[in-house]
Formats: sequence, structure tokens, C-alpha cells
Amino acid sequence: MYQAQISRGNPSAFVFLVDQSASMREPWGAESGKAKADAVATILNRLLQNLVLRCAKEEGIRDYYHVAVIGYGASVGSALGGSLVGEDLIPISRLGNNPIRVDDVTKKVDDGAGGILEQQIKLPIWVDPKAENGTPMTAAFGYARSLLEPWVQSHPDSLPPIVVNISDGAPTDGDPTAAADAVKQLTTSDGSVLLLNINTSSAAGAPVEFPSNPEVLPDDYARLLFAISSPLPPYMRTAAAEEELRVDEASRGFTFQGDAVATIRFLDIGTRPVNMAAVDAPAT
Amino acid sequence: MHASFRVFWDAKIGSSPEEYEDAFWPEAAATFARDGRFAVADGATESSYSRHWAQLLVGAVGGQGYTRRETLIRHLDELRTEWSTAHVNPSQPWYVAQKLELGAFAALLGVRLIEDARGPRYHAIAAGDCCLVVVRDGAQLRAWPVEQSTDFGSNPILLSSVDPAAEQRAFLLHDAMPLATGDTLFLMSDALAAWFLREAEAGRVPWATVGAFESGDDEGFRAWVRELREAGAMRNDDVTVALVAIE
Repeated sequence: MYQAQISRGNPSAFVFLVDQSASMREPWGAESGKAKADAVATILNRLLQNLVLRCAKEEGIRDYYHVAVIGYGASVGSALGGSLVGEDLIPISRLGNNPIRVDDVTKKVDDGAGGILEQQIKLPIWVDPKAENGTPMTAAFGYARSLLEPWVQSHPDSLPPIVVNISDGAPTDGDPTAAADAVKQLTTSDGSVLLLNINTSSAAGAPVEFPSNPEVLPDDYARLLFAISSPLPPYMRTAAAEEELRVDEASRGFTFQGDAVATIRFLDIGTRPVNMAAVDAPAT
Repeated sequence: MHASFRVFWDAKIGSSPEEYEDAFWPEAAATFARDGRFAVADGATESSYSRHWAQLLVGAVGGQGYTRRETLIRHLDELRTEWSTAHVNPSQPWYVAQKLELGAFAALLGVRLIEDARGPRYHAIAAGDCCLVVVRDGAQLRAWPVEQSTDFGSNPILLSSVDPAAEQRAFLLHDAMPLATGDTLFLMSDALAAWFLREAEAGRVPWATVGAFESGDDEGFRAWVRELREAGAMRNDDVTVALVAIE
């Protein structure tokens, strides 16, 4: 299981679910002075940027993935802006070629000799911060299932799709466990859909990446998201270990205030040199 | 010492021949009376313009004859400049520009044959997971720099087209060994090398299987590779093997 090779003829899929509820206006524990909504937008844009870059070659973007970005707050639906408004699962080339805008950002980098250099980088933006109303996480999982059910039927031998939920973990439409389970029950011939959760919390606490024990987590919201997260399949554990992340057989696809890009760094679409950097955009 | 060279390659399933990102030197079957230079490089799938980088690296060994660490390191910065200037284009989309900044990556294996008063031998240079196997008298004499099939992973350390050469010095390994008439050298990119070492570890004779392909039998080679991939015996990746027979 989880051994299907991703190719343009046999792509996989990502559904990103983004908490855009009013609680996301609260400060983010990992970086005081920053709202969770800003943190979520930054994390999401970085994830999308890195995912596009993983698929980009000199001739363009190879459609190794189909991608949806779904917001949940005042409503549940596509969170993409610009020319992609209202679009759900789209080939990643369409995503990469149509950000809302590309910001020019100054990043401070170590010059290797004890000094700091300023470097100009381009940061594509697909989603702007938003924080309104409640947190219909259960409905969001239902939406994800409605997108992926036909997708797995039309891609029956694909590497199973991955759903990435980015939230502070406080649902307002009931316990999302059953809806999350319904997403994870979708299968291809290569395994079940995986659900990963990125917890951006107001609670202080050290970052936690891919824990195997909920006792290390600081609050019930984090433990809820941990509980609905898929165990990491062997291919992810192997790759995570190569990235020097500590994982074991019980590790779940869950991060608390952690390095969100780590959740996609170990996706395997071919040789990835260990000395090749991930794009580390500044937290703007 | 005479050496005859032949090479076989195949792009991975799902990619066109134009998207093949390995490179080799020389470009076609050839025989050498002296100073034979041979190289195989494997451009990383995740980087852009990696085929060009792989081609520049095999050219450094084949064209320039650099199989010593210090000489190749001195030359590497020139290659980096050549690679960068070839692809600068202000109207590139954001992702092409950022991939360019991240650089291209490739594994390299280069071999140079030398004969002097001490007899024939090779000098080899390698970075990453291309693999040299020396076969003598029907047995595997040496596998280098990867010695066992379990040492292949999907995240090797490769030569970068953007990192300063000096920082990459430690990635380059050098090897030398006396040769004898009848030896065959197999220079392979990682997918075939992993299969080759696994077979040898299981007591089989992969050098006989690969060595049976005559020069020009590209279709036969590709059909055989396809069978291995479909059987799950070989990872679906670009495949290259260069055979150097010492005569």
C-alpha cells in the first residue's frame, strides 16, 4: 500500500482545508503579535508554493497533483482568489500559473560570515487572511469527501489523496470525528485517503511534529485534531526519518505550531537531493 | 590497453525521451587505444535544467579529463557560471525563477583509463549515487562508491549548480585500481545499479545479463528494462549503463 508512483498519467491529489472562522483573529501562540488567520494564510501560501515548486520543471509545471483549497468560516467553499475564484480540484499547473499576485518580499539571510544579507524573493499569494463567523469543520470534511469521492473513482490506482486541515481546532458544528472518518474511508487500490492536521493554536507550547502520543499536547483542541489524524504510512515515516524528524510506527500526521512545510517535504515524486533546500519564505 | 565502450539508456515510464535527465560520455559507442574517458551523470527529477547540469558534468570528465578532486573542484565554479548564464530570463514565471535559484542537482561518476610503467589502471571520481562495478573473471571485483544495494535511497547528496564548489568538496570521492585485460567496467545510474547489486548479492550474474546486449541493441535493452520495471524489480527512473571492456 502507498506505493503507487506519482506521474502525470497517474497523479495524486491534495485538498487543503483552511479554518477562516472568527477565532482565527486571536493571537497565534507561536509568534506573539500575529493573528492566527495571518499565520494560516502564510502557512498555506508556503505549502502551495512548495508544492508547485516540487512539480515545476524548466518547461512548466507538471501535473503530478490536483489541488483544492477549501475555506470554512462564514461558508464552506473554494478559498482561492483571483482568476481561480470558485474553483475546487484543479491541476497544479493551473494553480501555479494563477496566484492572486506575486509579492516582492525582503528576506534576511545569513551571509555565512556572521553578517546578515537582504535578499529579494517573490512570494506567490493564493489566499489572503480571513476570519469570520463559526468553525464548520464537520461541514468542511463533508465538502472534502464530496470532492474526493468522484476523484478516487476516476483515479482508482493513484497514490491516495491527502487532506491537510489547517485550524486552531475549535469546531462549532459538532464533533467532526465521523465526518473525518468518512474522508479517510475513501480508498484507491493503493490505500486510504490520508488526513493530516496542522494546528495553529493560541496556546503557548513547544512545536510538536508527528507525535505518537496525545499526552504531549497542551489542550483538548490539539488532542481532537491528533485523534482524527491518520497514522503516517511507511513511505512517509521513511522519508520523514531521512529528513531527521523523529517518527515511529504510531506517529500521526499532525503538527502543533510546527514546521508546516515538513508535512509536504517528504512527498515522493522522484529524486530529491538531500542538499536541495525547501523554499523558506519569510513569515509576512 | 585498448578499451571499447558501449552505452544503453532509457527514459523513465511516463517521460518522453526529451525528458531523459541522465547524461553520458562519450555520446556513442567507441574504442580507445589510450586515455579513455567515460562518464555517467544523473540529473535529479526535482530540480530544473538538471539535464544540462548533468551534461556539463560528464563533459568535464570526458572533454577535460578531470578525474581528480582538486581539478574538478577548480573547474566546477566555471560550470556553475555556464549553467546559470544559460538560463537567465527576466520574463520567466515565478516558479521557473525560483527553481533556478534552488539550482540543478546531479550525481556524477567519471572514469579515466591510464597506462604507464605500472600497468593499466583507472582513476574514478564520483559524487552521489551513480555506481561503478568492475567485473573480472566472471566475478564482481568492486562496487564503488555505493557498495551495497541497501545503500541506495531517494535522497542522495548531489552536486549542485548553485552552491560554491568549495562547499561541495566533501561530496567528491576518488578511487583508483589496477586493471587487467578482460575486465569490464559498468558505469550505471542508480536505478539499474540498485538492481545490479541486488542481483549480485543474491548470487546471480547481472553482468552477464547486461553484458549480453550488443552495441546498437537499444530496443532489446529497453524492452528488458520495461520488463524489470513492470515486475517491480527496478525503480521507475531514467536508466543508463555504460560498459567499458578492457582488451
